Amino acid sequence: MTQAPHQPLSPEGAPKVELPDESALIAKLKAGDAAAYERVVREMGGRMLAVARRILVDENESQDAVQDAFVSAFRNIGKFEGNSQLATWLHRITVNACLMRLRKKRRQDEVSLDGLLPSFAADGHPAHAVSAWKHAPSGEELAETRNSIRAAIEKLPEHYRIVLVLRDIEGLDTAQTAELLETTEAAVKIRLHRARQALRELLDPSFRDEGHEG
Amino acid sequence: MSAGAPKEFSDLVSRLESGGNITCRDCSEFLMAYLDSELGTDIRTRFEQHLDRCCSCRNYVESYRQTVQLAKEACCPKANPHLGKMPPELVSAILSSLGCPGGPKKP
Repeated sequence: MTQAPHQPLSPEGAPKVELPDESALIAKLKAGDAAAYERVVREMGGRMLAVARRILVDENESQDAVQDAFVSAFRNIGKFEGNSQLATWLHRITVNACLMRLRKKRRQDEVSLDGLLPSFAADGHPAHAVSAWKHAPSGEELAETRNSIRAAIEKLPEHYRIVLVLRDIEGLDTAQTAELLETTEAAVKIRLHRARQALRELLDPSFRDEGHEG
Repeated sequence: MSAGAPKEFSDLVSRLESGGNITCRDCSEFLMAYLDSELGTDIRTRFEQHLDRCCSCRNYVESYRQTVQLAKEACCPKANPHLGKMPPELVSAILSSLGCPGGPKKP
């Protein structure tokens, strides 16, 4: 099988760019052209795998989800009406494949965030004063800081982590997230807010500026 | 209403209508609604008046904003190019499952 000369389908993380040859590519996919399948797998696979890794964390599960997503996408390519870009459509299918795996793996029971949410006295005042935060470091320290932030996200109970990943990292809106998680928009908003609060609490010891209260 | 259950929000509205003040707990509970501009004008104004006089809540709002931004930056593709690397075996497995004969090729 030969690989046709082409432009990259879409840079990772930038699915909004419409390619001049996208409609021709989609026509080939709909016609079952193996070279077109291969091109999409080679060029979009990495981006889809990155999404799966962010959502599932586990490497084997992530790879399996991407495989599921491609099989599902190409099986249903006839239904793709071109209302969104191919990259956006594949992103959505990948997220769905990941969520299916999470559902199979374990029930997503609500886990308490006790200890990671702000606490208040009966009169509504905070139990502890909140300190200002330092700016994130730059240069060599930046990579280490980002690692610790990703580790903190992974510590969030899955019920909350998944909403934070879909909304704040994958960039889905509240309605899309609610539909994918089969819940209400109000529930998504509450879980997102709690997830952000819990993440803030986890990051607080590293970012708190002890010498500056405000 | 964003963040904070509807009942809690209606309780806040009743409390404010009967002359009560926004508390630090309210600030924490309705912060996302505030940042998403989902609070009504009156409550938003009262919210901001509280922030003007409460250093702890100002710090909380700012660190919450920073948290969202830091999470985005820490997980963005640019900061994690390794996440988008496809193992050649996975490419082969996918192509095989699609009935394509293609295996790993040189980049």
